[in-house]
Amino acid sequence: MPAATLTEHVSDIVLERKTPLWWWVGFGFSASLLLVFVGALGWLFFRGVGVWGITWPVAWGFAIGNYVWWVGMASGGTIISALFFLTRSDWRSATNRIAESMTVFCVACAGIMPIIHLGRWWYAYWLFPYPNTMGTWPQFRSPLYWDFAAILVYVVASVLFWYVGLIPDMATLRDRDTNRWQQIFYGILALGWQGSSRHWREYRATYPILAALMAPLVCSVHSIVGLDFAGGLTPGWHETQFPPYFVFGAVLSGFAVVLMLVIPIRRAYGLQHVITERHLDILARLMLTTSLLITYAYGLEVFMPFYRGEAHELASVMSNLSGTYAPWYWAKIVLNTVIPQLLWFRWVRFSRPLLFIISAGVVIGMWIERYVIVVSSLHRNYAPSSWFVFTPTFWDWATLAGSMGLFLTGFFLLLRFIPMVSMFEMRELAARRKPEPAE
Amino acid sequence: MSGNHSSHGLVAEFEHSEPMLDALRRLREAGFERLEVYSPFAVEGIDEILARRRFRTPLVVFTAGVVGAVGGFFVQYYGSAIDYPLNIGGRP
Repeated sequence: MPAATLTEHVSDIVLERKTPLWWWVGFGFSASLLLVFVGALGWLFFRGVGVWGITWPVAWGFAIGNYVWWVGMASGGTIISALFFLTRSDWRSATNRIAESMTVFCVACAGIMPIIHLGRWWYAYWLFPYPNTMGTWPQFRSPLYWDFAAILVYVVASVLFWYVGLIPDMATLRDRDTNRWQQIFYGILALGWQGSSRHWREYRATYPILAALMAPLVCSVHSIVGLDFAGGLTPGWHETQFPPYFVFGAVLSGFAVVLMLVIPIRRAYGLQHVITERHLDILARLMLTTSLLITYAYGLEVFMPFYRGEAHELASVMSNLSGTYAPWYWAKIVLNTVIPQLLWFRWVRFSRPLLFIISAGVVIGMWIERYVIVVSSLHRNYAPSSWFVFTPTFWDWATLAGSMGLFLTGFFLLLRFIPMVSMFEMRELAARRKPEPAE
Repeated sequence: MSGNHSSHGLVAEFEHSEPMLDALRRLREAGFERLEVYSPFAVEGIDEILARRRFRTPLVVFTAGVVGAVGGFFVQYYGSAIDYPLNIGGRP
């Protein structure tokens, strides 16, 4: 498809076309879920964390599981846009805008979770190292503190990365627009971009640097999330393999959620010629690869306690395999390990409904994995007298559903106001492709 | 452009980047200094032809990174070794 037509098609979605009905339905649904989130948080702030099912020893419940889940899905977007930018993989240009937009709102949802979990959330600013009247400093040797730093950096960096990659497209929208208000809106966002060679020079210096910073940042953020757990002495958490384990899981859920977004978006916006079956195939293969990696980690997770033979760790593993939370445990194995094996078959990778269902299964499975890690490990600690079964309350579920509302509302807004395909990157690709047949 | 010309500048439009780069190269050889290219995407080779300075962005990023790393380490060191020493298990 010629580059100019592509630009027209993608920018017309934002500028010209009437907002489609499915957008209003989806946005209405998302906004209602967002209201649920506001309600759940309001009740939480009013009554305290007791509205959730958490108590001692299961003091980390849904909020922490949700946090790991959201930040994990965010990482998939960054991997696609940063890592595959650095490896010069052309295919990323078709999906990186969707992936990055997804990342921005996943990180937003993730960032909220630990704060509301604090209990006295209005003291959250104590996390910053500033000279204070108490004469104290944060505990710099705690993984939980590293986590705060990592998330803060990740939020700032992923928003910057997303926005820097958006500037040339904002200028395209500004120039193509006929409506005064939109011209001003996109004009401000374009930051005076003119597409001069000077501007491109700066862009081409900045974007790769950001990408080069983002790619290792994903791994460090998720390693630190793993260390949050590995740093605790709880049986089932105190594992040296947790940092890579968490990175694998994060990337798996990230690819899955990108697939879940890309499949409907390309259909709804008629982008089949931009996001081709080949892109879906690559994403499916990546999902299969990460599923195999996480399977290896699941194997080690069971093998190591038996290898060490430590009684409490064995009790924790056995409780996973056959205890109260065994259905959850086996659900995670089925959803993250068994079902993704279907992706070995070509016809599955090329069947969009199946791909969507498998991805949805992985996204759910990854939430379950974090639920099992957080809750099932805590409910069997070293003192059998304090063993406890965690039951989520209505407000736990409302917070989870509500955070999805925050994500979906944000994403629907971007879907309406931001071009979902990087237009200038596609133009560059088209220009580079053109000389080939002539030669 | 020199002052004895009646025009102050000239704009040319190109369909593809190769002829544009050729024209740019020839203009450059003819001694023109104030040249600028506007393109819908980044075109390889313009900066070389126009003999522009190397990017300063990497240097700025690197400096900021070093300042951040040293500053971050200093805050940690000052907080937990000088201002409020934490002695955990006899380890400094």
